[in-house]
Amino acid sequence: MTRELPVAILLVAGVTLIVLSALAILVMRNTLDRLHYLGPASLGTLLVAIAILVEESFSLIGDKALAVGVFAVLSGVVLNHVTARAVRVHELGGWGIQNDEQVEVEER
Amino acid sequence: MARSLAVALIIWAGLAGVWMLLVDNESLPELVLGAGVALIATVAVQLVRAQHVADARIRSSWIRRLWRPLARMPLDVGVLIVELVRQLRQRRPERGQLRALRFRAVDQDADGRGRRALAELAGSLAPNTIVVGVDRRRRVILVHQLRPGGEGERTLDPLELG
Amino acid sequence: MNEWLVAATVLIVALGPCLGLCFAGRPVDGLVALELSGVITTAALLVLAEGFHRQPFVDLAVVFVVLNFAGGLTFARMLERRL
Repeated sequence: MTRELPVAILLVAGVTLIVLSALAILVMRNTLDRLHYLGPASLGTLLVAIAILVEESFSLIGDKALAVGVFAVLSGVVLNHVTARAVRVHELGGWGIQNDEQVEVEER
Repeated sequence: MARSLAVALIIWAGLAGVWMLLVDNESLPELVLGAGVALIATVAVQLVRAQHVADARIRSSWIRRLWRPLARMPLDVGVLIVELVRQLRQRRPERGQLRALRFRAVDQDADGRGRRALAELAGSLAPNTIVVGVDRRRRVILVHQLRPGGEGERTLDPLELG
Repeated sequence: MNEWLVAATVLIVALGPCLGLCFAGRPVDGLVALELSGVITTAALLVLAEGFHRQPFVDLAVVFVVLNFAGGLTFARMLERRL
C-alpha cells in the first residue's frame, strides 16, 4: 500500500507528459517549436522508469528500466541538437545565422 | 603507456558493468563470457580512439555548474506546457526564436572541441532551449528557445564555457 | 486489466499524432514525429513489461531506445544532405 501512491503519481505524471508532447507536435506549427517537446516526452519516460523502479525495487527489471529512462533523456538531448541543425541545413542550406536573419548577438 | 592502459581498464570495467546489468547472472561461464565480450568491445573503442577523429578533452572543473541546466529541466517543462496552452488558445505559425551569445572558445584543439561539445550538450538539457551549434566563424553559440527569455549567459551557456 | 496496461493503451493511442504528422507533414516534421514516436514506444514497452510481468519486454525497450537514437541520428544526417 505504501508504494502504490508514489508509483501511481509517477506513472500518471510520466504518461501525462508524453501525451501532452504528442498533442504539442500537432498543435505547434513550426518544426523547431515541435522539436522542443521531445524533452518532456523523454522526461516522461524517465518518470515511468522510476515508477517501475519503485514498484520492483533494484531488481533486474528495475535496473534496466532506470537505465532505459536515463538513456532516453540523454539521447533525447543529443537528438534535439542534431535534429535542430539538420532542420536548418535542410531548409536554409546552412545551420548558422543567415544573412537575412535578424539575430542580435548578446555579449557577456 | 600507463595512462592508456588505465583508460582501457576503465572502459573495460564500464562495458563489463553494462553486460552484468543486462544479464544479471553471476555464474562463472557468464562472467567469463561477459569479460571476453567487454574486452572485444574495449579493443574496438581503442581502435576508434586511435584514429583521432574528434579529439576532445573535458575538464572536471567545467561540469561544476551542471546543476544549473538540471535544475531548469522541471521549470522548462512547465514553460512548455504553458506555451502549449497558449498555442491552443491562439494559433501562431511560429512561437520560438533564435538567440545568439558571444562564444570565444573556437580553437581547434582538444580543449576547444571539448568546450563546444559540452556547451552544446548542457545548453540543450533544459527543454526550452536547443543549441543549434557554435558558429566558429562568427564566434557565437546559436540556440532556439520556444519562449525566449532569461539572462543570456545563464540560459544559453549555463556552464559558462565560452 | 491493471493500471500499467491502461497506461500502455494511452501511450499507444498517443502514437496517433506522430503517425499523422509523418503522413501529412514535411520530411523534417516527419523526423521529429519519428523521434517522438520512438520515445513513446520505449515508454510503452516498459509499461507493457510491468503490466504483463514479462521481463523480456524490458530487454526490447533497452534495444529499442538505442536503435531509436541511432536511427534518429542517421535520418537527421540524411536530411542534411537533402536525400
